Amino acid sequence: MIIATSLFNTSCQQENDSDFVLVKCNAFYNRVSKIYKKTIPLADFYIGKYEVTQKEWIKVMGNNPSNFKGDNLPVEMVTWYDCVVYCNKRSAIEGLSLYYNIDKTKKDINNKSNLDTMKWMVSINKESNGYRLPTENEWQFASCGGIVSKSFKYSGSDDLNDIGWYWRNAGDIILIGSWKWINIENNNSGTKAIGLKKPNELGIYDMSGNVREWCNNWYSDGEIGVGQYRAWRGGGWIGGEHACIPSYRGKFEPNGKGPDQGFRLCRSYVNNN
Amino acid sequence: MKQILSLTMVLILALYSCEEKLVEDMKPKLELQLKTYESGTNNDYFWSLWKSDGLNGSVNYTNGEGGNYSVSWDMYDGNFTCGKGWSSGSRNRVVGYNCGSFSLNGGGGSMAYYGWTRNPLIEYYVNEKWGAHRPADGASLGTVYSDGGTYNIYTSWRSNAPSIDGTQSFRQVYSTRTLQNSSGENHTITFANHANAWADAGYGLGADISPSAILLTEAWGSSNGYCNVTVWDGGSSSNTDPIAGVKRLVNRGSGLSIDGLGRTANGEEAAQYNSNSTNAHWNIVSAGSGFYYIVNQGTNMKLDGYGRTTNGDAVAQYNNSTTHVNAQWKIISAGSGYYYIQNRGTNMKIDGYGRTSDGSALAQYDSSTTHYNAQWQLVD
Repeated sequence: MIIATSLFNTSCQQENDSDFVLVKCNAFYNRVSKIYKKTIPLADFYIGKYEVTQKEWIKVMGNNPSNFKGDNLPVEMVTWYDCVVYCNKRSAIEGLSLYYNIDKTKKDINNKSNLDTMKWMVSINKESNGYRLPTENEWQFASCGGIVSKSFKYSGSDDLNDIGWYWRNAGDIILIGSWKWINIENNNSGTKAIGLKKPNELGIYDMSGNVREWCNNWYSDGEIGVGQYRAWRGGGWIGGEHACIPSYRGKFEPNGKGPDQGFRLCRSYVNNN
Repeated sequence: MKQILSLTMVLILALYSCEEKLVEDMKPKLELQLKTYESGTNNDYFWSLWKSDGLNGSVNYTNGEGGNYSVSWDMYDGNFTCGKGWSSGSRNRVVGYNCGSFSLNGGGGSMAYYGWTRNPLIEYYVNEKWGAHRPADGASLGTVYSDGGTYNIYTSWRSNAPSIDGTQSFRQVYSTRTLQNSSGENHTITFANHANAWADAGYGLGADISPSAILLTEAWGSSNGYCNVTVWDGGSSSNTDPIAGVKRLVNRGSGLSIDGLGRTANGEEAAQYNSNSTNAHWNIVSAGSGFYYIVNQGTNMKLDGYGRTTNGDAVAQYNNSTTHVNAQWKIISAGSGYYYIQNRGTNMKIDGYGRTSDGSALAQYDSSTTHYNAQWQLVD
């Protein structure tokens, strides 16, 4: 059974075809996930094997906002808005339809964040085959290994050190004890080149740690309504182990950015791919 | 205090690179290289100086005897912060100071007691003196009387600082005297009065107050001025809260402790366990108005009633960012060293429900109960 399929055979327009995997979505198999056995109405989708790098970002956007500089380092210091602009620009370059309709001149009245001063109107074209951010469910499904999940605690292992860069191991020495920012900042910690650790069951790298990854949808739960935060997943080099667990739901103002906030591309699997 | 946003973040990021080390290709250094951040210990006081680079004018900071420092700046169009104080904050510190001279012309800034907390991330100021512009940005939260003066309380949001979740937006909470305090006289800042007033206004400080706290001089914009001030330890206020702090919560009926079981998803149940582990330790933090958050030391999750009102319903856990009434608890003496833990949103009490097996769910029971199962010992 082919569960991770290169895009190479399905689209000759893709430049980095082998950098995506096709995620089949028959069921949700990770036994440690919180939605195990529940029916997740996911359609098959492509997701990047790697976090978007600075080289990829510069090629499309012509700038590099990252704090840590290096072609193969993940891009960071990008807002949710920056990322959807990137998706559209890259789609246009590669001849794909645009997934997002972005209107910077109108304020989104559904955006209730006190801190977000941008509040762009962003809507989606569901049928588009263009680049987009993964939804939280897609991200978690892929992170947990899809239908070949081995039910690891993190994305690809029970030992975070095998597969992820996080606050303990992303600096000069391995930090022990409790999370303390002063120890992290004195440890020369930061992002690491993509793909250095082991991949997960689907061949996807760095889903736990390195940079937190923006998701497409608003964050909401029993106490926080839609319109306050966009969701992120996976944790980053600053945060604690808990944030690297695939089920951990992070949130950040859409215009928030930080040296640990990046993203990973996704595409819907549509017949005209 | 508008400039403080960029200043604060830049200062934080600058700390990454205060030890200049060789960097590999894989690990390039931060873009934000600030070589003018300095800190150290002088006469047993912590001091620090940060200046933004590449701007006009000068800033001269000098450590004096004991807790004294002086700073003067001229035609300075950047931002700077400097000051002397302590390498860690304290809820009960009384700050003593005598400001011999202070002048700030143009731009903005203040002389303030200043520090940080984490979990959640909060930056705090008690502003004593300023220039032409009194620090009063953000939402007004009322007043507090302390140390012979009335202060207005304000809060505002800033973005992008490190936390255990990664980069996070953070809150500034600050008190500003209605009238500037006098020069050349001894004064005190009883910090607990401010911290308690902020908590009562719904903006309590974070559980971790270990970051440094200094008597700060700060200015931004095109300004000139000087400040000569001496700081000392004015003692400790006596209103230490016996309930607050990291404790185990041990049931009177069963002897089991409340345990987060390492769970990190919102809504997941808290449990009971015969344990002394980190997951069985909780930081009890004031949420103001006599209520508390109960924060797990293993996961940073808060105990949350989740709005449940049926006897026997489980107690949940919720991400540390919540300030919902469901995550706030009143801790009421039941006598003999035991306490009821009653939810602010529903009045339900936390109840062991007679369960004695490790990992069994933690329940809630209506406020009428006085059963041993609803009584808890707070064990340091």
